[in-house]
Amino acid sequence: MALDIKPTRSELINLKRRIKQTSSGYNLLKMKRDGLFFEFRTLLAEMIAAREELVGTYRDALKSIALASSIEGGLAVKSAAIAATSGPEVTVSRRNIMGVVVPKVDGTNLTTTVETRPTGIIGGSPYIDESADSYSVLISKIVKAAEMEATLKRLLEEIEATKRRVNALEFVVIPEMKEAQSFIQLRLEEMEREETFRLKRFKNK
Amino acid sequence: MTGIVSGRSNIYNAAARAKARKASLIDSTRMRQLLQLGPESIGASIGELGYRNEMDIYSARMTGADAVEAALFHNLDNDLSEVMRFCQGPLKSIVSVYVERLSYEKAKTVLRAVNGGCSDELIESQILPSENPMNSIWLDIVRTTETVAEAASAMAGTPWGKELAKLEGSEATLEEMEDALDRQYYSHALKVSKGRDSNIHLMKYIRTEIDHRNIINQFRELRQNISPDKRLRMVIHGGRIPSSVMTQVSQATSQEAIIDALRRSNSFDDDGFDEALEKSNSTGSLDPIASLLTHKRHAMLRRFAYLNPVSSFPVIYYIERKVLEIQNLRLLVRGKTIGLTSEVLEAHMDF
Repeated sequence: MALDIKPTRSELINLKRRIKQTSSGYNLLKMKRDGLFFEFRTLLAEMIAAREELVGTYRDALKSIALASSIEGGLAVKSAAIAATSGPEVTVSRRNIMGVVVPKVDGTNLTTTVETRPTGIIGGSPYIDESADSYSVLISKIVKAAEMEATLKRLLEEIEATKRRVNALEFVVIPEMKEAQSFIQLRLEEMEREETFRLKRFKNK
Repeated sequence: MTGIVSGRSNIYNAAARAKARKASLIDSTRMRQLLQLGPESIGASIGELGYRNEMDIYSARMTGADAVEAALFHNLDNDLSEVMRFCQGPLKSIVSVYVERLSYEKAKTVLRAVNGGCSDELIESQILPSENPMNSIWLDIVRTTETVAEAASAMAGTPWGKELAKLEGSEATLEEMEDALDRQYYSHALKVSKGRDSNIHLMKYIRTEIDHRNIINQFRELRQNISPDKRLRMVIHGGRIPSSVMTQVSQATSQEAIIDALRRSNSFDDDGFDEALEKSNSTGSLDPIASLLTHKRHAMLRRFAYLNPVSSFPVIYYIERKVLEIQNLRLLVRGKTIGLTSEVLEAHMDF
């Protein structure tokens, strides 16, 4: 590799300082990568559990609406559904995990109860109630899972980027700098040897 | 839309016609055969069982269970208006209680549509199909009104419209309006059951219906953690279970406590409740209790219809059997389409 560096003592001092800084940056990045990975693994375990729970809740919700549509009729279920004047709303803000900006999803009106639904209580159906309840639970779980999934995705991207930086430092930048350092050291030693030899030659004359 | 009608009832004639109509309903054997079929074959068989005309009307626009359900309700509307036509005098008032139940539901749908700001097209295409001429009056209200109050005014002249008119100016919510309609329905039913050409069994049946509605509502409200005060306010009066017992029921904090409180009344038939409660607790659903109450009510109606062959009962029994047939067919089609097992379907059917 052709090195475009000046083999001077000041350059060597600069290089040594830069190697030290880069190594400490490398260590910091490695620690960040490990920290992010730890965070990722913790969240992943939670996400897997939340996903399984979500699938179970979705299955229950489907079952309950199937029963409600079969017993009360699809028209009655639709009639109950159209009464709703407000639906669930989701706001996305930002939060910071180890310098990584991840989304924070907050929902309003996610769950409803018989009291908060605009339809009458007296003529209501237990099947439609149960169906609406299961979908309320499902929506809040979807919001939670969406936040976790987006966070995991963002963390994964950051881990990848950090990993690339760590690898670049470990296998390219630091070795190159060390190579340059040894080149300068070698060159300086050689220059010293030349100087000693020249002095000896002068003395002999 | 009938109030209390004067004149003489044609009970003999109407009972005979109702019995003849009942004989043409799908019997339990045929219903069990349908239970063994797949969803497509059920749809075809339903067409052959007297619903062909209505199914043809809807098959152009809808598919699957939606088309079958719309056709079934169209047929029910036609059938019930024919029944109303052959009833006269006070009998007509009694029968109208059961026929108008569907109108109350449609009135609620209209109020919900207006309240929720639903598009006319959605209501017309999915909930109150325009192919059914009996829906036109309801669709007109949806099209021409903007607020719930306007929709309520547009229903003036009907029993439900009169009840809604009482709430005018009170800024009543949709929930209050619907609850008022349900109360009015039962109070009107009780009033009619005390009038001419009624009998003690009819009154007993209506009061049992009120009890069953109160019981299932207490279970629902308990699950939703509704306060005892509100639970007490939601009790419909006029049932066979005394108000003092219903007050205790509304204070109960568990399903078992509700049953214990209900057992203090001699009018509460607790047969099968322990098993239903156990099932309900294990499945986390009120389905076993709701099914038990429905089966009990149907058994009671069947018994009364046989005990009173020359009364309004055969007509009411026919109407309830027809509604039941529609519900069973809908359950079969929807249930099979969605993938409910035959056991689940059979448990919810009443032959």
